Amino acid sequence: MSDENTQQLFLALRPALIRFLAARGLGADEAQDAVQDLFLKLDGMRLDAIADPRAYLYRAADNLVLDRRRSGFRRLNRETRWGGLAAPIGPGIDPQPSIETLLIDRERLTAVADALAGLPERTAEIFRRFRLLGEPQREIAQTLGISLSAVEKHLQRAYAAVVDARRRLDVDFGSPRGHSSGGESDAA
Amino acid sequence: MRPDGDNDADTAAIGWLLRLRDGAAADWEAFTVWLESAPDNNAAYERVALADQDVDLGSDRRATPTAANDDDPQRLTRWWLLAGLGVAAAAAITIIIAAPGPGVRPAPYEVVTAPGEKRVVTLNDGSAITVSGGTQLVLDRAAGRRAELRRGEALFKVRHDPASPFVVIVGTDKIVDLGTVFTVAHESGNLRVAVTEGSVRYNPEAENLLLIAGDSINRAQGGPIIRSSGDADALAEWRRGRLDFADASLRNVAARLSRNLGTPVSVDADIAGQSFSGTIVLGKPAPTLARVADLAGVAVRHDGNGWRFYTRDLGAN
Repeated sequence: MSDENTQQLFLALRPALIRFLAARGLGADEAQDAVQDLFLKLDGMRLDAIADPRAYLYRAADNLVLDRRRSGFRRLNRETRWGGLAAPIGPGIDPQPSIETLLIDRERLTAVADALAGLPERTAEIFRRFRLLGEPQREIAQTLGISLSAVEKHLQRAYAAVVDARRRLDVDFGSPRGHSSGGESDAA
Repeated sequence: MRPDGDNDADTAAIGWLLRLRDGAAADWEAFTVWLESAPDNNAAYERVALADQDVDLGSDRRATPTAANDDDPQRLTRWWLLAGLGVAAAAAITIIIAAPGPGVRPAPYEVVTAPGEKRVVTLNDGSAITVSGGTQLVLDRAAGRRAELRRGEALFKVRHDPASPFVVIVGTDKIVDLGTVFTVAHESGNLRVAVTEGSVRYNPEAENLLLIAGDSINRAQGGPIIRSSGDADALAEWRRGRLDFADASLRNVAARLSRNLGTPVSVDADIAGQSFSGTIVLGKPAPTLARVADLAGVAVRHDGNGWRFYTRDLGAN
């Protein structure tokens, strides 16, 4: 790590990140490894230009877990289709998605598009602003002249539709752990 | 379809996803505590977060370097069409730390095009900038999400990332993308911004104007913002080998022709302010300029230094 501030920040936040990763379903060793990964990836970066460097590190850690989960699903779907085991935490993301992966992604995209197409117009508009245009909720509320909690209700509804679409597909694809895509720590 | 207990957990998880979008470190700490408070919470969050990523599936967010002459950055903005057309599947993996953040050692470089030249610059994140002739653009490898337009015109097709919006700097003005294809032109102190797809924000800290597809603004240095809707494509016409002019001064027409034809074009002072409207298909300089002159009711001649528009009386001499 070339920048001292970044290093200090990272070391200070390390215990909190490990706790977060454990709460996100990683075992103790995996959490340590993941934090190490994060550390290497951030090597040479200066975080002081980022508005909230600590939030940034949390988000990076969260994305790391999601990436591993996603690539884990892919491997399982392709190779073993074990029903009872959750995604393994491995080092790699598939460098080239397989045809099957692409087909599954296409299915997912279609399902999401269908789910969004089925939303009321207002809800779809708010979701589009929030998720595709990246407008903050407060701004959407101001632009449309509605309350912040109304915006959140619309977004709740839109996301519920998207989550439902994914859940239905997971049943179709025989995703590990069916609709419940938790980590191995909760594999009862 | 869904087990009852999942409903509540999903609702809570979606709430967290929304809160964390612009969350501070304290929000992430509170989120950690929520995750720890019930064994199913993590599964619910993961379900919601992965579904959220599905929304990106059409966009192929992995930064695959493209050939510099790849003039098809269309796919980058394909996720725009998501709600209507489920197309193009590719893995969507958002690794926020894959791209160097701002503040890494600056490594600026200039893209300068000769008049008449057109070049496509592809950035590491897959964004593509079509640089018109006679343009000077400053990019920075360490700060990949910003560009400074010193002069000329460029069309930006940027890969949208809400966490790190693409910013175009023109003098003291700032144009911030919100998922977008847009053109910025800067000549003789005059700024034009036109949005073809998506939206941008103009000077978020000052005027804070939201421009959506079809909008454009025109502003002389320090002058008022003149906003119009519906002609965004006009500004990007040069990409297709056409120039559209709507009530433009001949001075402006000459400047744009100059850049696009790659040959100096000037205009006599007494007709420089004359208004011109029309569509010009770009070809070889002589016939193209003859056509403009014809439409404008003026004459054009080539002297030792380049082409020049005159009033018809003088040109006939």
